[in-house]
Amino acid sequence: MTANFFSRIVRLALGLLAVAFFNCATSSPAVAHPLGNFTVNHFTRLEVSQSQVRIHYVVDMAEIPAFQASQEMAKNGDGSVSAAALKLYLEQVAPQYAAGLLLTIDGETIPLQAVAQTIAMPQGAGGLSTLRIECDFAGEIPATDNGQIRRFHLEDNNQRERIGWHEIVVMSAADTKVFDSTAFGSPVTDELKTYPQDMLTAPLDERAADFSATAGSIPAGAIALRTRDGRAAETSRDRFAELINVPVLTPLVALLGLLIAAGLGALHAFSPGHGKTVVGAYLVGSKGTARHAAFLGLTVTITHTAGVFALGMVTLFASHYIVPERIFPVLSFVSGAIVLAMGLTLFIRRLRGALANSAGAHTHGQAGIHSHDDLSAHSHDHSDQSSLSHSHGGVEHSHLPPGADGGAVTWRSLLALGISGGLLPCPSALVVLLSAIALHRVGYGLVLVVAFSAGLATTLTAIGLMFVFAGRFFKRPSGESRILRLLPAFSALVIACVGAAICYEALAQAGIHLSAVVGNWAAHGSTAGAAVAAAPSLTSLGGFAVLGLGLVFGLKHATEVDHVVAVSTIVSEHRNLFRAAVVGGLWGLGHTASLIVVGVIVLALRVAIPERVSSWLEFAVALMIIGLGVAAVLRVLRKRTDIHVHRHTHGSRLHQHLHFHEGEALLDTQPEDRAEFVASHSHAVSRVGFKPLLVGAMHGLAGSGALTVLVLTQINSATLGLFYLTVFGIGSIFGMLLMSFLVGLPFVLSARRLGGVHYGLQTVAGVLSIAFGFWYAYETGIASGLLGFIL
Amino acid sequence: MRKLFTKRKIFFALAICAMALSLTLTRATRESRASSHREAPLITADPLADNTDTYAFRSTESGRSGFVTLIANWIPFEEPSGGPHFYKFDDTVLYEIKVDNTGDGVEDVTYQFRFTTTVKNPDIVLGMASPNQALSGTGGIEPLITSLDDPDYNEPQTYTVTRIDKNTGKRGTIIASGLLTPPNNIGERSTPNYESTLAQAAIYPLPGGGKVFAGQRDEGFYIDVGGIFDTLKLTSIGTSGGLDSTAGFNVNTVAIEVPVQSLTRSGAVPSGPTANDAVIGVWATSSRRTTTVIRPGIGGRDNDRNQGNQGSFRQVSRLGEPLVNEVVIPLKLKDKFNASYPADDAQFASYVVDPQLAQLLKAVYGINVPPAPRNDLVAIFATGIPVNAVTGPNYTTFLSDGQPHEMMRLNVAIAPSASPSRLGLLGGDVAGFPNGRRVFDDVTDIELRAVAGGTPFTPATNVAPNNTLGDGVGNNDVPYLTRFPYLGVPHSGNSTSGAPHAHHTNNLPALP
Amino acid sequence: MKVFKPAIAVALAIGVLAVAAVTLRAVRQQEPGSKSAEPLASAANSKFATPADSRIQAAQRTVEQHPNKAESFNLLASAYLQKARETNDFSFNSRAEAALGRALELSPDDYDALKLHGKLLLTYHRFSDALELARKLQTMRPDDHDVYGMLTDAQVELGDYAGAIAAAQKMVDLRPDSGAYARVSYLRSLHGDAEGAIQAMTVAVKASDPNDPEGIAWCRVHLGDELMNAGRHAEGELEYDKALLIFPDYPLGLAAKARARVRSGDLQKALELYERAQNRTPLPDTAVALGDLYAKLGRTEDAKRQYDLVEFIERNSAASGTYSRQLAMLWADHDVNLDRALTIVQRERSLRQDIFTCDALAWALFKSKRLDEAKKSMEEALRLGTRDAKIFYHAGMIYDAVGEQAKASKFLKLAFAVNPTFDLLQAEQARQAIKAISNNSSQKQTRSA
Repeated sequence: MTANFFSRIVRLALGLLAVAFFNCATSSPAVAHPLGNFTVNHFTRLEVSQSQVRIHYVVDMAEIPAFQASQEMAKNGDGSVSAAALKLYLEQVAPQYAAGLLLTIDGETIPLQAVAQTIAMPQGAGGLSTLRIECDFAGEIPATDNGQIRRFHLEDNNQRERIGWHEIVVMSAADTKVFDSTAFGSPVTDELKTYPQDMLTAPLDERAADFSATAGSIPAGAIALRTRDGRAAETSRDRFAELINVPVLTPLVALLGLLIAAGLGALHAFSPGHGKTVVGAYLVGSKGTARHAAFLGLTVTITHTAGVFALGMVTLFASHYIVPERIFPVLSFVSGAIVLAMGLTLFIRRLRGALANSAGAHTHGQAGIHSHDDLSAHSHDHSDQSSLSHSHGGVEHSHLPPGADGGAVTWRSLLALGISGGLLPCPSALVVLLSAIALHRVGYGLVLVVAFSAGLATTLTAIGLMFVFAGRFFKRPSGESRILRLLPAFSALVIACVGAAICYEALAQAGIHLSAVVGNWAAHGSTAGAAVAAAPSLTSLGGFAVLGLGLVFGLKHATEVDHVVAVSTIVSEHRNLFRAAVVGGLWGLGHTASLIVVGVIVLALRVAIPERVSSWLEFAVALMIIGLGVAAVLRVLRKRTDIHVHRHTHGSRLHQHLHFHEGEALLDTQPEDRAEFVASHSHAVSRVGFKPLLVGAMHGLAGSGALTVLVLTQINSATLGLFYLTVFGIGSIFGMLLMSFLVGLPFVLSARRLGGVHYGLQTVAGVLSIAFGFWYAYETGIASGLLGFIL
Repeated sequence: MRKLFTKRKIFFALAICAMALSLTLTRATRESRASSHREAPLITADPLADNTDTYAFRSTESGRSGFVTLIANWIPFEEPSGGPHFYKFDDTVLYEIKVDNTGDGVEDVTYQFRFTTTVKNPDIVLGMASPNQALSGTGGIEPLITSLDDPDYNEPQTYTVTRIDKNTGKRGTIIASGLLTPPNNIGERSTPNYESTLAQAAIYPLPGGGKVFAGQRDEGFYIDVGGIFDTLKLTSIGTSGGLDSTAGFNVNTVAIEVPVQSLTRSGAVPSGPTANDAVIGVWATSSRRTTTVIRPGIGGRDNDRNQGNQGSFRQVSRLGEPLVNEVVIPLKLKDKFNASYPADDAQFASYVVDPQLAQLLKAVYGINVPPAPRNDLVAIFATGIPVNAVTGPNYTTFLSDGQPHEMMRLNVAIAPSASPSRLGLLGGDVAGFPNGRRVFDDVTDIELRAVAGGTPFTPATNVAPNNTLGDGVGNNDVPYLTRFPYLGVPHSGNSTSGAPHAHHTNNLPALP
Repeated sequence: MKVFKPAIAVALAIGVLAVAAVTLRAVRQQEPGSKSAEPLASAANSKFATPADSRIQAAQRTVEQHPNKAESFNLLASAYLQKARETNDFSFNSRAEAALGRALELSPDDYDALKLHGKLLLTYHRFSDALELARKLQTMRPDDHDVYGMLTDAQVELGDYAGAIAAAQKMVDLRPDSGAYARVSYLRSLHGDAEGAIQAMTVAVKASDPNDPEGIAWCRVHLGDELMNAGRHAEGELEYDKALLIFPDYPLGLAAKARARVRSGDLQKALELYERAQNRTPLPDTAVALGDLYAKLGRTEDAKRQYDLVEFIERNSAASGTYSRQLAMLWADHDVNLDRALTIVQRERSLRQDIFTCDALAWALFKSKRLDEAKKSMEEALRLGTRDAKIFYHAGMIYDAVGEQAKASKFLKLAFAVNPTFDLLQAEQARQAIKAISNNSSQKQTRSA
């Protein structure tokens, strides 16, 4: 049966591939620049410090102007557009552009020097080239006494008559404050690499900007620089990048910098797409050891550091040929692909293991029961392997019980895991490296990056360790429940899904398609936003694709930090995998329910949820998470006191008693009871309580802000929108079911082994969620300027 | 069965990847096609022939008590800094003010205004004002237009006034011709001392003691358009706090003042308010000539290029009572209404008897409105208010042959009020709207209350908020004149002194 | 569990309260931030904006307030259509299309949305579809004069001139306005009534909306064309100047002005104008004219680049297909790709019978030496008696080729009479043709003598 099962996979895969190609085939052959292929598009970013104005100037020519330009080049060069011709052209236009940018300070014109310039002819779709020119200009600001207010005026007169997108962004260095600005502090198009897909909004036409800047404080009544959604633009847009720019570098500062770098790295690991889920999921099904976890961390650190350096070099030397930013999606796709491949292989292997095992479970169960000591059990497995060893390594695992089999960590997959985790260089790390070189602080820069990567690795390792740690207490009693046997397969599945999601987003970023929206919402750290916003463009693909993507995003969405944290606190109170899973399921239900309710309202009435409301909701979530954390800790404290009593009376058998007290230790009860439970586990809701429902609903509400995007990006039918939401919801239910299952494991297992550890874990979960809650509250509340009116 | 379940999950995983791929590979480009064929503008507005307001009232200027002033405005929302294209009347449009004094909805007295633009220096692209003297070396460039016959007034527009009395022949008689319109208020350099030297100079006396003026004026109508047309999403429903949407815009005005007796049925001054010749009905229209697409005898030798069209006139716009076309007549009938005559208004009666606006008010503010049929509204808009208990024996604007005719009814026998109220009759001022309409009457508030039933005619609903409704705009952004032509000085296109004109301003304190 | 309940309750309570508070605030007053920043931003850029931009902004505000009203999106759509007219940036048509899509989704037979959609169909050269839609709209509102405009345009382009005249007559009778007069003018011009065309377009200019500079400029440019065609050059060029004064950088105006300069032999100025126009929006029509100009000035390299541009746009841009006729004519004039040129026009001819398509077909047939068919198609092109120099030139060459000398010289002379510089390069061949004809006619005379 396994054989035909594989052939089915293959057939399905082929079928789907065909679908994919069909979709490309049917797409319109007359391709065009997103803004129409007549356009010449301009992007200007000013960075104002006290000493100078730095201007990053990007010109993106659509197919037809690019063609005209290439005609120019052909005329100048040797007849074809050679690299030399390109360079020649660049040297012609760069100074022209500089001249075309009129910058005045208090009415006095500031000459602009060209610092650096690059030119590239990226292939627009359909084999037509577009032309992309990037220049960096600098203008010196005449020195004045501190705190004086200067009025800036910038005007982009380049190719004035040419139609196209014109975007101006004003940013201020840490030492400067910008106010009364006619321009905004945040970009729209990611330097003309992605354009809004929403056909309803007019292309931006910002060709001039006026603003005031001062080193002192903003005068009363003046409006501080704002982002496009009306929030206060934060002066330091990249905390990590700030580290390198410190005026003087004392040892103390350097040390501090390193610490912060590490800290930021650790936080950075929490941002989506760093495979924390993968690590956990992988190790949970395996017999990971601290050694493995450490090795994992090492790989991540090395890969990430190396990645940053490599990319840094590319940016420095090869940027004439490659636009570095275009590498990012490629890299993340690769890492996604690795994860996906690994997930699928693991899944198939483990599933087969699980299936094969259902026959021989009993005996192995016996074996498992006899070996009380992990290490001995471990070696025992290995000896088994060696005795059974055939030429093909992986296969033999299927002869072994699931826990001892495919789980067994292979260094190869560990390496792959580590690479996938570290492959995608954090942009700000890149910034640090580059500015370090610019500031001749290369050494320091390198150290910072390493520290950052190390921090990144620590988080992943920590997660890994947590599961390893849990695994230590993992003992498979006889005839272990199916769930537990299929567990490794489940976890592998999660890996696969996450991999798929990463791939999808990578692709989305590579193509102009969707990426704008994804970008915006990645900024909010909300995949839900991306998912929901993705829906409109799905309409072209029809229901099946919607279903597929809805699921992927649903699954991915469930692994969002704030969700996992919240759920884990609740899960932590349960000693039973069914309930753990049920908690997740309920969370998903609540989440989906509220999403759909709001969805119906939004779609039916076509009312837009104000930006602020949704950010408030996110803030509320933060508060909720704190609440949950506190509650969890409280609960632990209470229980601990109980335990003490027990300890005194019952000694070593304490936890057994404890279980019976709470009547939750199903795994220790007799088979018939278990059967009865399986029959009655639909009552789990009442046992688990409605808390997860509520929490899920809250999350759903917070995520519902994303629905506005759904409305604004004219999704073509309300029904499809709802359909999509539902599928998305189902996805998130599954996802969270799996997640809570995984998260639940350590608690469940530790619960059976040793109360102390169990409560330790609970406390950790509680404290973590409190900490995270506060951080999240800061991000959503203060950093976003939401509570500006209070502060 | 659990195995199956997990298999499906793999299929999903795979399906997802493939879809993700196919999705990003698919490029649904929305870029549209170019156009190279000859496209005339399809949906054109015709502001030059668009009536914006009609006013009719007993002259309040001192010593003019025996006169009635009729004012009609065209060309909505004139941007003061409109150059280089300026706002002139259209030489090809027939502008008319019509008066019915028998109640049959057919005009008995008509004043026609025909305009002709002459270009002094045809070789220059500049429009209304051009430094012709400087160019011809006969004068300096500063300031440009100092009088109506200034050579630098490059495109002066003259007009004739024709009076048609139904009883004395259809063709009518030209009572004035060659009258000049002032230029637009271009700015202090081109048109210095605009009001005193140009606008006032453009007021001409008429035989029989009347006056006439045609030219640019400040838009005297004040309303929170946004509020009214945005499903009554009013910024305020009181007398203040609204946005004056018409602030800062100009209009083109034709104002004519004639003796009372020249308009009445009897040809005499009525004996009193209830006399059968006391009430007149007024409305303004604009008409354009149709033409034969393919002219008989192609290449016909017709060298008068201003007479490009030889067909008969078609009425393209009409306006009697304010806001009727905007809020009473449904969208799909607006063109039809504009082309129709008061005599045929029976076809629109249903929209007055049961107006959508009333339902809207009910829905938006949750207030009770009088049930259909709204005879109170029919009286105000279509028949005139007969003598009744509420307004007493000496007040009526009734003028009808029993059929509905939408026009502005004025009882010429009711003397101007010493203490006028912007709320007219609702403010206890019998000389104001709906008895005719003075430039400062707050017709928006009055009509809102009337439609909501907040008037003495419908006691049941004459309660707050019905009788306190308003758009929150109670005054105009520019002071009205106390003399002919009453409408304020037009905003300057380039004001170097004083604040530049602003649109959508918060309005001044409400008028009494 | 017991301990949790209060915690959760508190947390949720806070959340709910926050939401309620904010929603209220959001409802009560406009949000700070982007909204309040907006006027500032627009003020700084106002000097670069075209009239449509303010309309677009207003419409977008309406859409924000009423995302569930078709009217809001109709406003937006028409604003985008105007912007497309003002800039020739066709991507705005796509935006209009998107807006209309939403409007029609909100209310499927929204009359105004359908009307605007018809406008779009015409812009996309989908004349038959536009005609169909117009007929549907007619059933909805028989007295809407705009719909008769749509009928006129579609039928003119499809070559059903009788139908077009009837529709235009109805339009001008229902509401004689600028749009109606513009169409009357074009129909008169097509029927060779230059004076009538001028008169109608003069009225159209006077009657056009003062708040729509592009509309005025459009009318003035076409009035200028009619005047030029009638040989009143000075007046014609003045109209172009006025158009450019009211609407600077108006692509149509620049090209027209350039033609006028060519006609007065001021090639340098013409070059400057064409290049200015091309720098704004590179369009095939301009590219051909500019290319010819370069060729005339001996700058063959530059000329070739313009011709290549025509082919590039037609082949590769989203506008692909729309300019097929221009490309075909370019090929025919330069005696290259004659087969493909012929196929292109034949395909187009199968869709429409308007005189310009007939003329194109005749010319392509002539170039591929299929003279009898060429003559037949040319007679169709001449059926209205349109005074068009290019058509006359083509006619002359074709009649010459089939041996009808008298007709040939008549038409060739007519071509020069209408516009001596109707085509910088072809005019030369025309002159030689005339010379040749007169020569061998004189030879005949000498022989007979």
